[in-house]
Amino acid sequence: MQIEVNIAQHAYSAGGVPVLRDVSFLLNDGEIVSLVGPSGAGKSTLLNIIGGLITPSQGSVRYTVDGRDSPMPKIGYVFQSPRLMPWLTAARNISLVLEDDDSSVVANGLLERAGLSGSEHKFPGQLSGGMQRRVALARAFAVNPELLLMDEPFVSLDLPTARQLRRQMLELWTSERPIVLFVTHDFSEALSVADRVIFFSAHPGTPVLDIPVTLPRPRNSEDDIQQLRNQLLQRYPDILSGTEHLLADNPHMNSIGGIR
Amino acid sequence: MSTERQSDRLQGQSTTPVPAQGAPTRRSQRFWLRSFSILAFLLVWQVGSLFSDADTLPAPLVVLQNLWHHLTEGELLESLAATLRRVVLAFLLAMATGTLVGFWMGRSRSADSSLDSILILALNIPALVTIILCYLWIGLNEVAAVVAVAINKMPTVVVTVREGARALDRELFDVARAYRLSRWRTMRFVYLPQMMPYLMAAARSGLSLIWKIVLVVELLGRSDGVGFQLGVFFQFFDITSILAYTISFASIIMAIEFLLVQPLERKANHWRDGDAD
Repeated sequence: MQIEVNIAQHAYSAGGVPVLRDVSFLLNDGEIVSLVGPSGAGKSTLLNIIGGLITPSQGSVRYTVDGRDSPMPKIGYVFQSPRLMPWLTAARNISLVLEDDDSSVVANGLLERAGLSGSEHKFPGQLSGGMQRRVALARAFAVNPELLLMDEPFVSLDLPTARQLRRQMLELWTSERPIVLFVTHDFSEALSVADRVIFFSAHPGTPVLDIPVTLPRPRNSEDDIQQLRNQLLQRYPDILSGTEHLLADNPHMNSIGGIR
Repeated sequence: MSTERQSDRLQGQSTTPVPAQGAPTRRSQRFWLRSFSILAFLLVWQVGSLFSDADTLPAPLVVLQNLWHHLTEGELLESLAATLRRVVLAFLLAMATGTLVGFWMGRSRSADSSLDSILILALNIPALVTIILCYLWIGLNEVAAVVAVAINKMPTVVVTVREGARALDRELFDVARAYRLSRWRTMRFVYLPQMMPYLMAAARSGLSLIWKIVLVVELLGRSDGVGFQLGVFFQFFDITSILAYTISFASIIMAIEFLLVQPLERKANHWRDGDAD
């Protein structure tokens, strides 16, 4: 499956200030792509558009299989906040998105893998913020998504938990090979997980740099990641503030490849 | 994005306006306070009856004897049954139509603006006018009686349910859409739990209003039921029987509240206390 994102412009109200402009890129089968950019770059909005929750003002998102249009893929969506149903237990929150009968078995298995065994019958209000996030991740994995959309899924988690959940996400990716699109503020996190990083500028959000990450997996070495990070920051000093001129300076931005 | 962030944070607080039920100890404490207030009321009544004419304010025990008499030899049970049936039918009719219209008005701005003035009108039409018009247009029958009561109640259900539908959490709805939940599952697991406090509030205020109006409807155009009987007692200045009937249906209301409404409410809110299901 491929996803062609082609958004000329998106504003929340007709004639309003655009949040996104000239966003076009291609997501390839089984690719993990990370979106990095400052606040106000419309990254969450872009995720909502690709997930079909918002229709773009101008432009479209095409899902294709072997070059032919296909219906929207099965989506696992991890929102910026956990967004669990407060009136359902952790296990029921997961089986809610599964239609089949043995869903409680699946739900309990996923919760166990997320380190939440014993919390199956607790309500979200009884779980800590980090635990709620883990339930939200388990919910996204539960549907065996073809497209996994994640909006800063590991933010405000302690380091070991974040690392554990990243590993779990990669496990899912290894077995099911969904397209993963995930938003993060954390450059190192993007480099440790993604095949490709797309940098956004703000107001309106537009991609300014699109680079492949060719570090071999598994990327267990923090040093390699930090080294790559420093290299990139040296090459593109303004990369994290998302300034426009990067595009003009780097007409071949898609062919930089093999930075390692 | 900063606004999205903010709304994310707010989401945790955007719960519905029902306080959690108390712990068992608080519950028993409440029970004693409640019993105490009833005892105090009976005491005042007893003392009052000592200082007045026995026909004007009979003592509680006299009323209780009279109640027993009506229960065993009179038509109290038949009257209560007839009234209760009308209450239930009118309640269901008002809740069903009121919920539908209220939900629609809460979700659709155009529906809201086009129906809003009619709603204000409906809220302010005196009950007596609707009752009389129903009897005149539909006839002096059961249908007219039930419809008249339902029409009186429906607008307040609409107002309450509309409030709930407006407060529905957009973010949870997006979860339902992203995971493509069926319409039924969205209704059952995403909308209904959020609407529950509003539906319970509508039901509770609905029951009390409906009792009051049903009696008027019976007084005006029915030949059975508590309202009709009260009319008869009124003609004979039988204050003791009037009080006896009042006590009998007041206790039924209390029974409905404590045995039906409150347990239902607790069940709907159990996740707030954190008892697992």
